Amino acid sequence: MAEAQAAATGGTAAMDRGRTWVVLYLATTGVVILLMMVFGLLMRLAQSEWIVLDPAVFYQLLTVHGIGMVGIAALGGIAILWHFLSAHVPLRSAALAINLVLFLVGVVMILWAVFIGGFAPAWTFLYPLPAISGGVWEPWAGVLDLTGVLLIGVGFLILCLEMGRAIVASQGGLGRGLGWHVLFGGSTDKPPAPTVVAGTMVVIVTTLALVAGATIVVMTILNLLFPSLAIDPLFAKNMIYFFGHVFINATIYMGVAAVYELLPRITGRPWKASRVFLGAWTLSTTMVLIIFPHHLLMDFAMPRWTMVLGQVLSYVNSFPVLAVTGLGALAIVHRSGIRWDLVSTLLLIAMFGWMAGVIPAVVDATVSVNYVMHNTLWVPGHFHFYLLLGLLPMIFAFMIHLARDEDVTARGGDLTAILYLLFGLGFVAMFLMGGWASVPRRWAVHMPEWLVWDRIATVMAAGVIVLAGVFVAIFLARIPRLLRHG
Amino acid sequence: MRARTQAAIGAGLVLLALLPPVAGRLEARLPLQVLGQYPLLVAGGALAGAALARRHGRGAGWSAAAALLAGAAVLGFWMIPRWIDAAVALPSVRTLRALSLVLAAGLPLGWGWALAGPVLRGFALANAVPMLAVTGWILLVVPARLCNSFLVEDQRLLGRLQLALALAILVAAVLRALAGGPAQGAATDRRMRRASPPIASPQAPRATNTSPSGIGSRKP
Repeated sequence: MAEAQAAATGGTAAMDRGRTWVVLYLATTGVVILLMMVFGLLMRLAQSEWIVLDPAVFYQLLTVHGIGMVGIAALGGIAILWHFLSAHVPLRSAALAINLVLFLVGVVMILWAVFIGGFAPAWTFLYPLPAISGGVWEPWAGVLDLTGVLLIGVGFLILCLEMGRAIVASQGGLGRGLGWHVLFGGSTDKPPAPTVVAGTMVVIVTTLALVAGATIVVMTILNLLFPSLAIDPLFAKNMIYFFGHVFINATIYMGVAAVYELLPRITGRPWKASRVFLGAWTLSTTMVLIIFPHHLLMDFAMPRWTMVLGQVLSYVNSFPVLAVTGLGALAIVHRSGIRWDLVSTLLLIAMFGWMAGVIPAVVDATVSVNYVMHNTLWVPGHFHFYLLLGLLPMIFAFMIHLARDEDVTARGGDLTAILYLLFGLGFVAMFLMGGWASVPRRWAVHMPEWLVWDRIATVMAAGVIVLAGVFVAIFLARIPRLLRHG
Repeated sequence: MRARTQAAIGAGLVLLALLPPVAGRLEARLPLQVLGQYPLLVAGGALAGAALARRHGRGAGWSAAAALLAGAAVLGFWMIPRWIDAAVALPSVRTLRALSLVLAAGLPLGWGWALAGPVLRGFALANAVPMLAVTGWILLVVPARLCNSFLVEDQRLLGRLQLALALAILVAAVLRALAGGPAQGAATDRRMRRASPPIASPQAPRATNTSPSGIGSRKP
């Protein structure tokens, strides 16, 4: 439709909004999310001793669940960002097509490496684990898996470059995309729209993360092929966590475009990019790049100053954007006369999940706590909180929004969202309580004393999957119509 | 800069790199050869390639990616230790290397770079940085001396310099993107408004309530 509009009004085909691709992205996202959730459920069932799972299979599922969720979070997040950003800057949807093809090829390679090659060092592929499997997998499986990761990274790099190009061309530079002309230059020009600011941040941090990721992935592949090329393990861990931390963090900054664009439309109140808003995004852009050492607090060989930086900035990092987004959302909703429905409730849950999910993260980034909680279930507790109740509700809200032909009239369904919140909270609470009781993470077999948390979590996970299935089914059912309008 | 001036500067750089006293000094040490002589020869060819693209490249944008890939492959070939050694030992290989760095690496790189759009340029840089870093790392960690003609200290120094260069390119590219250039915003905004209806933004609150794609609206 956008192409037709563009042609009819003298615009160019280059300004199509990539709607068909966005729909395909979301369809892929929905299906893969459900599949990954089922993998997660299988692992919780095995830990609960309700099914028997070969530990080797458990670790394969763990690896695929991790890398799959990271990749699909980015795919869903980028679909949201692209859809809304393309209304502000002219994007070329060929980049979406290239990325999806590379993504799917990469996924096939990863699945082959894991389920046929037996590769299972978790998604972080921490050196030297890919090369020292104890005979569980051959080096080719590691090479295949990492090449798949590399291809997926190349796809996202192309997307970031295309968004960066469009922002530079339309705003005059990424600095102006972050509103620096208003923030530092005292310019009276109109500041960029909140979605453009978020998109600029995503472009900067994700591109840097992908460059670092490509470097360490190629180094690891070379190490698998030529073991004499040894990597400094501490360097490898720094690179992997820089890449991984920044990349997964960026997914929520992609998804937040849904909040910035849909809440104003639902409530009829504008979301303005004030100087405080711009300052917050600039601060977060900087800090998200340097806080990753909080993943290495137990690595005694790390320089002390990096540990201090990791802890202090972890406290500070999330608050600027969270404060302006959370308070902004509350201000927009407060006394707006909003009629809550599925989309708006999911968006509010997303804000809650993001804000509350940061708390266990910050707690774990404290050295004295990390000393006890490191490598316990507290860690998956924090990132499941953040992703399950922060990012995924944004993606589901956007799916429902598209399925409703972008009509923001309230249509009910908020009870489903509240049930999702309750099951989700129950699920992540079991992780956090397990961590509080020092239950280790990444163990295929659990002690009898830990089963109570595992079993409650399993029931909660089943509930989450059913509700997520409802959201995805609503969207999938509308795909033929959406594609006809594409 | 005019195409002819550009090509003349390119020829000057090639001459400088091949002048006996300069060439002798540059070829005496591995880091000077790879990060001194190679860039002079490649830059010489690239300036000529860019000048050619300016004159004859209209409508040849399709060739940019292939040209960049070909140039990078030739450059990569001459970084293989076996061929670095061969160029030191055999004058014929040295001549061939100089010719190919100018004509088969520099020329296509300049041609491709001049015709490439910002995405392809960014992609090339985003690939160059990890590759420079990885090859630098290999030079640092490989237990053996890779070039018979040069000391292992030279090899390690080249590795460190390549890592530094990769970082410098990354920082420069980020700063360049942050600074940007003149915005095409006004024209783009006008085209965007024609191409799709306005979104609900600060300027288009509840009353309009149109969607980004323009197919949705609030029901009464």
